[in-house]
Amino acid sequence: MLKNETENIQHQLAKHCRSNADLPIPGAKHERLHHYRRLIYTIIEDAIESAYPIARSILSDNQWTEMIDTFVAEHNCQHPQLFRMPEEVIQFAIDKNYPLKFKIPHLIDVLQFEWAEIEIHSMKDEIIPEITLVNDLLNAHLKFSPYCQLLALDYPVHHLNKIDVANSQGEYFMLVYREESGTVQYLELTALTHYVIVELSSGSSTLKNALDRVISEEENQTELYKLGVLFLKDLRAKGVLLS
Amino acid sequence: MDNVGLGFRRDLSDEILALNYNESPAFIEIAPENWIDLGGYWGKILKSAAERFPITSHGLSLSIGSPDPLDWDYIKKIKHFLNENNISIYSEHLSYSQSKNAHLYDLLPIPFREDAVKHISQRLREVQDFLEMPIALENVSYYTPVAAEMDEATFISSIVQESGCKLLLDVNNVFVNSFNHNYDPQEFISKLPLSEVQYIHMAGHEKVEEDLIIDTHGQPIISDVFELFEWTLPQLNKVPVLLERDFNFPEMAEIVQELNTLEAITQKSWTKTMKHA
Ligand SMILES: [Fe+2]
Repeated sequence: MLKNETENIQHQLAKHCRSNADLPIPGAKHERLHHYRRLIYTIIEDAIESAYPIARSILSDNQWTEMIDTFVAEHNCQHPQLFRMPEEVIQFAIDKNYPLKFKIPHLIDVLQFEWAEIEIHSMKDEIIPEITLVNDLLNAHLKFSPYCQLLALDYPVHHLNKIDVANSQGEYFMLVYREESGTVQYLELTALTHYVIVELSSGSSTLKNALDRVISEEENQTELYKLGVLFLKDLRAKGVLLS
Repeated sequence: MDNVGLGFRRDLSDEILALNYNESPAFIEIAPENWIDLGGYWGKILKSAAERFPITSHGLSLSIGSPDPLDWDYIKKIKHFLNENNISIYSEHLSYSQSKNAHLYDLLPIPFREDAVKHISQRLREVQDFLEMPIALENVSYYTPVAAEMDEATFISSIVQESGCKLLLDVNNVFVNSFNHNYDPQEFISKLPLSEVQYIHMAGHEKVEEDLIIDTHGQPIISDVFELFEWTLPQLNKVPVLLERDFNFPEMAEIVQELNTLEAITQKSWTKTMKHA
């Protein structure tokens, strides 16, 4: 129904707004078009900046502008909800190889860490059935809160102000979770506690099964079980463990 | 207040919820895109707002004028959201914000052309059938015409007629466009199908150049726009009126004062209309 000509004009206008290219748009006042470019650019930039204040602060102004310019021009934003769109920046930054290009190896981890907080904070409420607390945390199958996310990162991005993060490549684990009040917190995990949560939240393992699989000959089994139970009690106090 | 509502923005939410009864707007307006599937802290805020106020909605991403196909997954979410929150008015913009499979998140001007009228009317009918309610379509402000073959009033009127949609008359946008494109705002309003107006928007704007106003929603309403509003009201049915304030927020007392001024004008205009009728 829409004529090709009209359709093309509409796409041209959108393309101009995204790329700032000087495109012929019939019947338009060309001195006014830059306002559309500016409005769209600002909306997208503001959404990304408010989602990723830390990433913004570790990029130079030039790097930031390059990333936003390219994103607006080349990336087809998919989410109809603007506040959810910034998630798309993570894959975009990976595809564009920005960590290497900008010499900021921890950039993707920073983006992931910042996005996890938003995702958990805004996550849709679920109906959680009444769950009774178990006494035997060692041998029971356990239920976890849906409002949490595990992160396995290569850089300690939660210590950005304290250490030289770029030169501290390693294995870092974190649990991002939402408290009853809606506040989002994070908890640093070790490789072992991360493993325990992965195993237990899959629903197929108990704490004892999980620990028995990794315990070595020299380790004190009883002591490890005890520490495991203490860890779970802490998760329960934080609202992460429901049973 | 009986007739006048306020846009429910996250930055204002605490203050709106803290208003006492005699300073409270008659209703609040939300953008579904800012609240759909939102839980946790903001989910609770929306819940308390819905318990306290009737809600109208003003969508951002339908992109009814786009050459791209409609996004039915998103429209399904809209329908669910409207039902869940008991929302009776679903308004959207007569513009497009999607092109070549990309969202642009702002309102681009549609070419005022016959084929666009047909295209948009067809899409409106599909969406309205699915939602089982009419859409109130807003006249948007625009800073340049694009490949126009008819005037804006004819464009809007034809769409209302062909699609059976309602009109969200944004009085500030009429003023902004009349200034930017040099036409008479009263004459423009007179050409619209005024019996189909279901909802009214009022807002402030910013003059950025000698001959250009941008519709920012970041300033108080100016007196010319109040006058145009006052002139328009007696010609309309009694409908909800919304104050849009999106950023550059003043003290809440100042917003309440603006709401009161709008309410007083509606009371005056519509009581009179009813007496005459
Ligand atoms: Fe409006």
